[in-house]
Amino acid sequence: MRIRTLALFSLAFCPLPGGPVYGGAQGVPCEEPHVFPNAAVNVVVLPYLVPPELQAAGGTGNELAALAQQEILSAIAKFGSVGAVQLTSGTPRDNRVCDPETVRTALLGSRPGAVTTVGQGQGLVLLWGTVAQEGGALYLQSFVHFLRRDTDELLTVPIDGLPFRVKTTAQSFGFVPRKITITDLASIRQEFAATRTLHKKPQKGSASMNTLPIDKPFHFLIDDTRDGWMHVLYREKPSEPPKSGWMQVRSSEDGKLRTLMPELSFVEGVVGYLAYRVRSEGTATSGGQVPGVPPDARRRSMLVAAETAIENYVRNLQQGAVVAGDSQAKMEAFRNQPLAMAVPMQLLGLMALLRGETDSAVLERVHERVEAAAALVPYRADARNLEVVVRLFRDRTRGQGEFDGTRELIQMQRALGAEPANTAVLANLKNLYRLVLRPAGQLPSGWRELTTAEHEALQQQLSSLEHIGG
Amino acid sequence: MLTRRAVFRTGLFVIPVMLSLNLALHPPAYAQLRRCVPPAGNGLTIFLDDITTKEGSNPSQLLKPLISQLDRNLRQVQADTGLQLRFQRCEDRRPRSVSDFGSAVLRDLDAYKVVLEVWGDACEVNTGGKPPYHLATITYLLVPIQVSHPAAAIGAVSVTKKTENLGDPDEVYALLDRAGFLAAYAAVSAATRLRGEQEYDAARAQACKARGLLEVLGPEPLTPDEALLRYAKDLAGEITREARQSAYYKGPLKALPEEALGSCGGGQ
Repeated sequence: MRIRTLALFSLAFCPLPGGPVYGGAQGVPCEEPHVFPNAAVNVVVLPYLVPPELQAAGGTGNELAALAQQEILSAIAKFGSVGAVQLTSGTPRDNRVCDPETVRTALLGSRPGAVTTVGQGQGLVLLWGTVAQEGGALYLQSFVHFLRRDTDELLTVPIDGLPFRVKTTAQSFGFVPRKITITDLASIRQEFAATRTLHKKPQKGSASMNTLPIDKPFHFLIDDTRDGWMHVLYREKPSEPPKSGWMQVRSSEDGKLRTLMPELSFVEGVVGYLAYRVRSEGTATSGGQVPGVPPDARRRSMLVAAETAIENYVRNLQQGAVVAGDSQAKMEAFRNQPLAMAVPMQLLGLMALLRGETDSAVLERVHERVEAAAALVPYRADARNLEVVVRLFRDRTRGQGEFDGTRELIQMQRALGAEPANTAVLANLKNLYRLVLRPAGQLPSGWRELTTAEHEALQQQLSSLEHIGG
Repeated sequence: MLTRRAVFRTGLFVIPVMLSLNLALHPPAYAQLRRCVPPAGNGLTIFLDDITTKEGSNPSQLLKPLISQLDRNLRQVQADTGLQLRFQRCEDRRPRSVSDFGSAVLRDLDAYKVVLEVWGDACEVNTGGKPPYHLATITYLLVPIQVSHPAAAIGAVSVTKKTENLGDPDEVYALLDRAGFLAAYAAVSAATRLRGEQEYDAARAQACKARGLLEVLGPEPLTPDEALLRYAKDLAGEITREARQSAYYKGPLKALPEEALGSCGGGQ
């Protein structure tokens, strides 16, 4: 089984001549997870846990994951060099082998079991979730983990010649649960069935060509996408010539799955963000830097597309599709899942910096977002660190007014006090001291000169931090 | 010569072995609690016991939502903490109350790095003539706190929710969703444990996280959660004081100005 899987897999993953890699795989057993080794970023969707009483015909969790994978793949193809794999469980679900931590560590090569692993510096996004029945309603909750292998997800922001490192508060979190109906689940099954037929043209009435397998692993390449359609190349057996046809990503045109699962827009956005960073930084493990000049138009368009996707996620969340109910229930939902809003807001901030944004109105908006994120998780040092650095960057880019830095020093000290082992915040705090303490002649324009007493006190504080690593 | 920290770590390694021997030779007095062992490997663990209907009580339709909500809350806590927190389902383990956890049981749990044990029940109450109502009770045992402060009555949080209306799923959902509190309990328990291990930086981060989460959630006055918030605040301060007085600790808690350590991050 494993050899056969590997053979089909390697055939399917021969890159298209001169073209980017858009690869898909469905029905891959959790015991033998794999990724597209040549892709800059892979998305791996695990089966959703669905209670047995809801699995009338079995397998809804796998079907939901397959639809999510199709929707994601069609959306992320624009980023180039991407892959999406849908893992599947036996019946009803083997918790152990489909455990996200088990799959993640296998795909990162930390434990055996994966057919192929994520390469150094390449991106991985894991998506998993549950559907639960509570009080006559169904609630769907997804979870995500995004990363680049062996790479700190840091971004360095140069301010007045000194590097300041920032990152998001978390790279793994639970989304806000959403209420769905039995009808929604039934429509998921119908949609899945409708997408199993390949068509000659990307049109609903177009002639059918082949039926895609449901009950065995299926690997394919994509060489073209249209709105809601992907052109698929695949082989059922190594000895057979490749087949092709248009796969309908979803049977309905209204994007129902996106409404049910706005987290798919987040996944789309985070893939764009990771793909940009993989391309810009290669396998560097130390983290990239805010560019001195804006990236070229093509790379900039990647970031813009990623930002648009995350904006869509945030908008859907804020427009109240969260948990149906009164505003109090929605407030409760945010208080219980603060990272579901904080991390996307922070990613939007990071991407604006990566775009080389210097427009003061845009930077103001970026700051508002990262400040809102810090308010959601006031106890997280990375959140306050990002807010302070973006504020400094905004103010220095604007280049007006007098800068003091002592307010920022206090906030950075408090952030470090809340998470003393955070080396990025420690390094930033030291650099902030160094900026503030520069001799009068070397102070950047606009920085206020300290009094002698202030200088001595701050110099003493810096000295006591200097021997600590970071 | 072993440092104080190294001695403690050696002690942790030895304790499980001694415990196993002890259990084999002397059947414990707490035999009514079915034994549960966390999975092998590093990291902290949450035990999830049976969520059930107590003997003699009427079954309630609240039971199923309670189970699934708790399951989801645990998954979220695990995801939000970067998958470093494991949870272990303990089949047929049904504590009746905190008093089932004698000092030997607690030491056992603590040695296995269990930071939280959760159990609960749901029942329907008929009051005669009036419509019945439903009660869901869930108890969180914060193991390291119960071990280190057995008399302080803050090591266990028992929450009872009452509803007459099971027809409104959103109300039931809001009633039972405690993901934020669960994350706070895990954090404050971990902080207590890490402080004992003199891992001051990590302990302070967890204490501040617990404090921040509880402040955002805003516990009701005179509830165990409010007491826990006070404890988390005090703990964050005590960790700082200990670190500053420690001969071996050389980290930021010693180097930062004292006024920067009062607020646990937060604020402008």
